[in-house]
Amino acid sequence: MAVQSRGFWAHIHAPKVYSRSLCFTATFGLGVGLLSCMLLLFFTGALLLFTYIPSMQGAYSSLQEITWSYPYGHFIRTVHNISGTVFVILLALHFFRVLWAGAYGGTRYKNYVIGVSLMGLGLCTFVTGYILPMDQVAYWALTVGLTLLEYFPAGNFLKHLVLGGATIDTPTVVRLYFMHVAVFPLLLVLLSFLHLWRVRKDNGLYVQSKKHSVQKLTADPHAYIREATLFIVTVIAILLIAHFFPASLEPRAAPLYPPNPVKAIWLLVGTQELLSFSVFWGGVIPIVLCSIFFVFYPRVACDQYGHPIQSRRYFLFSTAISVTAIYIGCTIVAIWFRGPNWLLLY
Amino acid sequence: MCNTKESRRKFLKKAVQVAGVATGLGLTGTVAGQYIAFPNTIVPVLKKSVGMLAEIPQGISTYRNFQVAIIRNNDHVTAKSLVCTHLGCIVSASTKGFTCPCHGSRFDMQGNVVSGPAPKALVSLPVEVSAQGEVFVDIGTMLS
Ligand code: FES
Repeated sequence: MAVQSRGFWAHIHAPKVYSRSLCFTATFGLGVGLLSCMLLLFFTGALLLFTYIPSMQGAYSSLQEITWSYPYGHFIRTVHNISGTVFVILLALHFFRVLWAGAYGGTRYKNYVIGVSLMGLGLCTFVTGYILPMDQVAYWALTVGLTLLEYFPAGNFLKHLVLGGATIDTPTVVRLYFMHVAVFPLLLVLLSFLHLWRVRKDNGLYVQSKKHSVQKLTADPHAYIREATLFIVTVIAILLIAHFFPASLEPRAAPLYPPNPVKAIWLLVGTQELLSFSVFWGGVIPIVLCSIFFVFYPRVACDQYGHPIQSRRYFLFSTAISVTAIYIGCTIVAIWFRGPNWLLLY
Repeated sequence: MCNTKESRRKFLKKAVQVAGVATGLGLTGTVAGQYIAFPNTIVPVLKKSVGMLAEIPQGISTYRNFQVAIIRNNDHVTAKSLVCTHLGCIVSASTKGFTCPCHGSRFDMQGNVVSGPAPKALVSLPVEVSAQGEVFVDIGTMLS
């Protein structure tokens, strides 16, 4: 096999990888799925860059044009949309898989933290992108989000960083746009490289143990063929979803007239439900506590050899699952049981 | 054995490096931060006329472009900001009071919280009635 002269891309893997890490159940292909989404996002995002206009009035008009005039515009926009949603969902699943495996011990803790940062960045990119159409849903999500920022440390600074003036206007759109198309994607790419490089540095996906055979296979073709397949499957799946669920475009933002009720998109509407209980207990506290817990607890969940302590591993995993379950519960209530004035329907 | 001289030198070197980087980042951060987070507020005309007192109906009437509600009780007028004290949506008025479509806060006729997540009453705004009977609302406090 071509071991002597390996090209740049061939260095993603070591020449030989553990056969066990090639089993589908080892990773469920989630990392590769994420990368596939990212490629799709960059491609469709680049296309949208040609037509999107970052201004208060222009944003929505350009979205109308993209959606209703440009050939395949609606489809391209939908694919961008769906890939973003799938990206966020895969981030969560990838996170669960890592927590279940306890793959954060010893030298791998560094990569775990990089992974958590990537998750944060992914969410930031998702949220900023969600605002860019400047339709009703985006406008009110932005209004609420900016006020929510004030509750966090350095909140006023962050608020004005996004707002860029006294009220939501073109400077706000330009800033969100800049963050969505330049700042966050750049950081995402840099950190993703670091993430993959650290996987190699930490000796692949498995910590060697005596229990398992340490059979190795050449990465070329065994790993690459699987990854290429996964990539194709992910892309086809997203294209199919995009075909059946075209992205919606709400009415143009009307700064003085919030729709009643105004509901965020389904992936974020759980947050809205939580905020309807209390900003502090439903917004600030959960975000701060979860961030601190999931960044630092894995550090102390391992013994001195970097192996996760069973009971703590279960605790960490079940906490993640419970948090997600509560969020899904809130999402269901918000989507199906909330009517005008956010009143319960039943 | 630990060579104290060696380790002290290492420590000092490290300390100087860290201090240098921290100062550099701190200074750049302060300058850049102030630049990009400047609120750049253009101070607008703060007193808005909502018309003649005689023409303002009894009860609540809303002036959405100014984001205010005027509450008239015989010849007594008060003004409330329509910006929800929860997370900033615009509340809508009814005969019973105000409701917010974003997370369901409810306020009574005086703008006090009846239910929902809003932490405090709708903001009262200063009202002035001129000698000619024209009503002005000062919306300045809403923009701070
Ligand atoms: S913004 Fe009014 S209830 Fe949340």
